Amino acid sequence: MIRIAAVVTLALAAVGAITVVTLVVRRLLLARELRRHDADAARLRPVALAIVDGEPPEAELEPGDAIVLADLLRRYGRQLTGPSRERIGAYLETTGAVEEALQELRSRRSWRRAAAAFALGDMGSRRAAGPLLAALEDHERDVRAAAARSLGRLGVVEAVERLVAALAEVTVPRVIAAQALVSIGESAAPRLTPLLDADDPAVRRAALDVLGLVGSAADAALVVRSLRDPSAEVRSGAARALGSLGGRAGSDELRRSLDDRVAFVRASAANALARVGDRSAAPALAELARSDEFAPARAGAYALSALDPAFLAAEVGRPGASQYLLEAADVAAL
Amino acid sequence: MTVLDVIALISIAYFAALNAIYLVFTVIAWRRVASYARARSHAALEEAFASPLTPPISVILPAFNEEAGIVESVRSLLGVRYPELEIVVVNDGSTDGTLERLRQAFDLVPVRKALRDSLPTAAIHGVEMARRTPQLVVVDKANGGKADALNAGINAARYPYFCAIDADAVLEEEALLRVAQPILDDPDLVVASGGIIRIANGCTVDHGRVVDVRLPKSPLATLQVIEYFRGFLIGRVAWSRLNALLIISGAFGVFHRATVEAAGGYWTSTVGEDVELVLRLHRYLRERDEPYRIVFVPDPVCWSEVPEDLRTLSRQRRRWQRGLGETLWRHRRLIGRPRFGVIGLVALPYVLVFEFFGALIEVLGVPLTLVWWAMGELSLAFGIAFLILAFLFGMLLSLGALALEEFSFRRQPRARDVGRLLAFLFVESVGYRQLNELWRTLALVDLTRRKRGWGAQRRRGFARA
Repeated sequence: MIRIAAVVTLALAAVGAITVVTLVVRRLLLARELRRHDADAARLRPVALAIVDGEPPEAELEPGDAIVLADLLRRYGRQLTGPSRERIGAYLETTGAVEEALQELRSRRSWRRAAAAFALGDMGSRRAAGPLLAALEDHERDVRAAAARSLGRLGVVEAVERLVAALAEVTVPRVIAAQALVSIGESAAPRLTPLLDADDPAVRRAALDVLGLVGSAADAALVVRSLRDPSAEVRSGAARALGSLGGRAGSDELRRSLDDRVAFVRASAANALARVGDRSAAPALAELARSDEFAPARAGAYALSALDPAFLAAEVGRPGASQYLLEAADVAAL
Repeated sequence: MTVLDVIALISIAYFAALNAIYLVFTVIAWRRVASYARARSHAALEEAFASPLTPPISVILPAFNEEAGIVESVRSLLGVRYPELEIVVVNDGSTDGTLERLRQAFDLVPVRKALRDSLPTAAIHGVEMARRTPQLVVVDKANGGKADALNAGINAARYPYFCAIDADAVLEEEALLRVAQPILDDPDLVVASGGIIRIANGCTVDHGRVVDVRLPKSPLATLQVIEYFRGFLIGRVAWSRLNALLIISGAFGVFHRATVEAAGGYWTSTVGEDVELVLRLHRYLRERDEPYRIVFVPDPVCWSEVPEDLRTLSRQRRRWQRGLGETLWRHRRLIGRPRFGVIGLVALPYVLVFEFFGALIEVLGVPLTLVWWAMGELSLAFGIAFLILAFLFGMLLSLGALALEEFSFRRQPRARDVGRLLAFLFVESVGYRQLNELWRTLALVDLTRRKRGWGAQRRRGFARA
């Protein structure tokens, strides 16, 4: 028994010693590598900025420098849009960095595919559109999510149909599919409207969230129908979407939604009325602020404050004004 | 077989089971953290920051006598990157100048704010808002303790999620975006998400940001750095993987407000309100058969100060253990019940045996071993071999946690600090951990005496740039 314990102890001690040596050596090597990388990045920053400004370097860079430069440009590409990003894309295509990332997109390791899909969105090269569309079918969710995000970053209109499907089927996190569609913009709207009749209320709600952000006032008529949806979440989403779309098309329906049986729908309707600027809703909003429960009453008071400050002031001046009206008035006075 | 033989067998089984669990947890944690660290390179944080779909968050800071650091904490939060944020400071009846400092720094004015009454709290004296930073709300109330202050903060919160953080904590710039990531990915499922607490003693803080990460000079705080690696990077990652995370640190966690309200908010009769709330959320959601997840994210960092003297540390540990005991007692019905799934069958029995009574078992183990040896029932050689094996295994597990940190996040930039941590591994396993077990055992005495309250807190404050 003691012999077994001694052998196990020695084995554990050996594992510990190897781990400690590995950690120390690795840390020293990494520190040296990091110092070198930082120095290279500082040296190449002016070159990267020149490329963004449309002046690519004439001489060919060392392979190590090319990697650091590509990394810098990708970081800039994440913050930029328009011609600056297109110049980054064009330069990275000529250096082969885009091709390398496309090859990584076929890697056997899923995290490499995901990292490549993500990087391609920052490189700004339209050559990536096709492979990224294919990556939306990857069996790993992380890869699909990175591809969706990059298709949005690149504004690939051809991806709308697949992204809408991803939004409905949750093959990528809804927030990523939605944000990609928002990035692509108004061309996503026509593909979203069929989802307003989907069986799953969560899909209808997600479609409304995006439609509110990418649609136009013309879509309001379609969205108004959803204010009568059996799902309270969908009705609330419809109110939010109408508020985002603006225009007065849904005002009457929104005013009716102030009497919805679910409190958070009433609150959403109040917020939306403030955003569409329907001052005729002021008396109804004041009534909401006077007599409803917390969320809708508070929303009503703030909506009234945004729409008609004079009406709010008159309400606050009345004896027994509700605490929500008082709060809205005090906050407005800040 | 004598009674001593039975005790010996139980001791060996306990040791084997505990270390086997730690080993399994270490393997799980390595896999998860490695995968998470790789995924960091393609986390869509910029998109989350820019997205109108990212849900807004109310950050709640309960503050009791925090005049020394409250202004800096609020400034730090105002600089956190998140698309829509409100900061609710709850002055919990401070007797120092906490409220005055806030008034001076942020030009507060009284507001007749409507507050929800979903959670009962001590009397609210008033609410003030900042003229130039309207996202700052200060609730002034009678003293009711941290849990009561958090409940008042929830009542005042505007947004659907709230983040509870300690008033002396410093969040990293992207910590909220990162901790909210699981909620963004799956808002219908994730009801709470917690981040990692790292030790700020020794670090330099400038304008509410940790600008220079160093190990604490204090040996006691350095030992806690290793302990926190084990607790957060191994323990919480593994429990989160099993969907059985029982604690989101009170210093930094994001919760779905309506779910917390429905579950009854923070329980004010315990000093372990953070662990109790998480367990109650599990209970509430499992009783209703609602699908949910409570997750731990190992990357979003909240820097916090830890005790540097034995007295304060002992008080803290006894308080934590007391909180655990109160929580286990309140939810004792869940233990061993299949209805509560992995919580009832795995997490709670583990916590009861290894976390709550484990300290007592380990403390009693020493005199029992001596008695056993004095009676000639234990060979000295075997006893020593067993002891060395136990210490070595413990040290290796801590080394595993330190190595995980080195291979993933590497927050200690200086190689010499890593060397220092390696040197402290021995003391952490031989001495510090046993001291901890002793304090935790003393907490059992506190519990039987029905001791209440937090005891005095002593803060040193961060080193400023």
